[in-house]
Amino acid sequence: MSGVEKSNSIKSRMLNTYIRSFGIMLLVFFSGIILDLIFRSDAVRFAFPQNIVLGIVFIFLLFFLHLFYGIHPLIRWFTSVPVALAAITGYMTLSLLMGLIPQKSPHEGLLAFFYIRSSWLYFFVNVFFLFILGLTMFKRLIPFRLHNAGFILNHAGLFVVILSGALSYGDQQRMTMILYPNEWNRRAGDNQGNSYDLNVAFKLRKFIYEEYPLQLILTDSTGEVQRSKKGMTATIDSNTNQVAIDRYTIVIDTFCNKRFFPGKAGRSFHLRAVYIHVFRNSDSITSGWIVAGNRFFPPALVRTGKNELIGFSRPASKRFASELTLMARDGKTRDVLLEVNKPFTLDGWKIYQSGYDETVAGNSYISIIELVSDPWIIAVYVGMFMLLGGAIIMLIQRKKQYKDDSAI
Amino acid sequence: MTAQFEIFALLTFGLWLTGLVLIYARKQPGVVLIALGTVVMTLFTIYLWIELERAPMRTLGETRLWYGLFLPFIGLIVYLIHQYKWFITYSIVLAMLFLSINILHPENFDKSLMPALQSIWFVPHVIVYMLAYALLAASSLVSAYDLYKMYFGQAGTDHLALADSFVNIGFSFLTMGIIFGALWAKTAWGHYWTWDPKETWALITWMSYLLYLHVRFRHPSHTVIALWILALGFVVLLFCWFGINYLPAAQSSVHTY
Repeated sequence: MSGVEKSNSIKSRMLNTYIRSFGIMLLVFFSGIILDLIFRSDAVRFAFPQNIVLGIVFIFLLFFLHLFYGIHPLIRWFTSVPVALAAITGYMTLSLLMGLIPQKSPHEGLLAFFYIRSSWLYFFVNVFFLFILGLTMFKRLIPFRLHNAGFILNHAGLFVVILSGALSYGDQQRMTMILYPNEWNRRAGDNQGNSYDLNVAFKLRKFIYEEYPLQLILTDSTGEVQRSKKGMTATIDSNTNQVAIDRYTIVIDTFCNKRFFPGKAGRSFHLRAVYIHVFRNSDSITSGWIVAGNRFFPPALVRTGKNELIGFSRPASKRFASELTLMARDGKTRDVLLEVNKPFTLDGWKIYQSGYDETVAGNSYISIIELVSDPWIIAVYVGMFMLLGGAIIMLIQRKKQYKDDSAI
Repeated sequence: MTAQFEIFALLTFGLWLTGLVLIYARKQPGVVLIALGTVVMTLFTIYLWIELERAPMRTLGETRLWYGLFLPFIGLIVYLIHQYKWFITYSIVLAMLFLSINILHPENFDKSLMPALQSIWFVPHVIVYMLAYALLAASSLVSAYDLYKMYFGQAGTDHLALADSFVNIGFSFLTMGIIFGALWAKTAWGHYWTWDPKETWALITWMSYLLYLHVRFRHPSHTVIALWILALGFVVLLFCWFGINYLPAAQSSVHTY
């Protein structure tokens, strides 16, 4: 065979490999779409104990396929780069669809594209992706060689994260609980509108709310006060006498930043208002009230020009937290401080500070907490740390060997 | 951003441009001037950090600042190793482009940082992400240069080995950035992955470079495909960074900034 013929033969073999690889991906894709068209409902979702059995069976299947049929051309083909590229492209296509099309529930969307995460399409693509990723992982894992550590950590880490994330879906619980001051509560609701009595209870002793100082802002918008593009803001508090914004001098006459909190009647509100005199080159321009809108008062701004106003920028919360007393399953109580970004664990639940009554912000006497249970989280973390390890090895490992094109 | 930014930026631009001219005139101080310009930008970033009383990593403009800081730094290192004038030129032009956006659209001097962002993950998450973005931008400069040469100039010049280094390091940082973000999301919102639009697009970006790595591993001699994946990967990256704010699917994102 001459050099040119040989090169053409390699090219056509490679083309065939790619046609087969992307062909099987398309087959997986269309099977999913057709199944979704027929059923138009949530794809299977496994909960304990089916998920754990399924996970173990899947891993053993991959392991035995590698052990007994590892050298079979079909299994070797499944672990080849062209198939990996097809699988990545398939997963990427799904992500792109999710990234471009606002997702709905299966009953609202006509095609699987509108409810990808509950679709058979997603299920099939995931299984295919995990199948070839798992086989590839075992191929390098057994027999183990140290120089493959980076490869193994990257592939096995991704395998563990995706598999445990997918299997955990049916076991995850997320509840929201609203706490009123000095009242014990153990009733929480999920996002489907169901409510449950939990084995733990909470009592809100105090809700803590802090916000950043108020800011006056010069805006060119005639509607709601937006962030100014000109960067013309001034922070004010009860001690401020005078501030400068752009070419104006603003004298603060009366300042009010007070919470009116008559009790549990639910009609409390926060009044943020300031009376200002505006000067320009020591000439008085105008005077007036600036009010941040609340449930009783509409917002008020001071007009300084045809399309120029001074108002409050939107109040920004700095910290919110709850002083809680909690009762564990065994009836023991303890006091805790629950803050954003600082969840704590209680009898299998992870407890989060989630929100408050935003219509009254600082006067909120309620606190909204979330309780999340995900028994699989440890497995996901293990996968993530494997990926981190793989990334670090990739960062420091300089040598890279490329395969020759002809070796298909 | 503050009014001082213009002064710092113009001083930096002056130093960078003079440095580039000197590099093309084969004068030694060129590199020193570019390094000095980068130091000026670093000083501004430190100043901003102190003034804001928080890490300047919250707004889009603030992330652009880091980008404009990391890119010339990468350009300098590559120039010192390989003496590629085209590369340092591109990286400085790109950095200036991004910093110029900050001059033309100054942002509020806003100290506020919502409670969810007050986390030990905030700084590492953003820093590794901006480093990754800068390195992957560097790889896209290589692809733009090589593609231009391929279609309009002399063929045969191949800088993919350089692009491979950028992607290897950049992809590692990208992986770290996603995982730091996932760990943070778990502590802040209770779940590590919610298919928030930014997360979805970050995954798409990550997979674009995953394709590149696999193509390079398997077909090292197919440079054209690799170059195009790099170019398209960078388009996806930019979309993930800026573009998704304009998407209907992204209106409920936790990453609106």
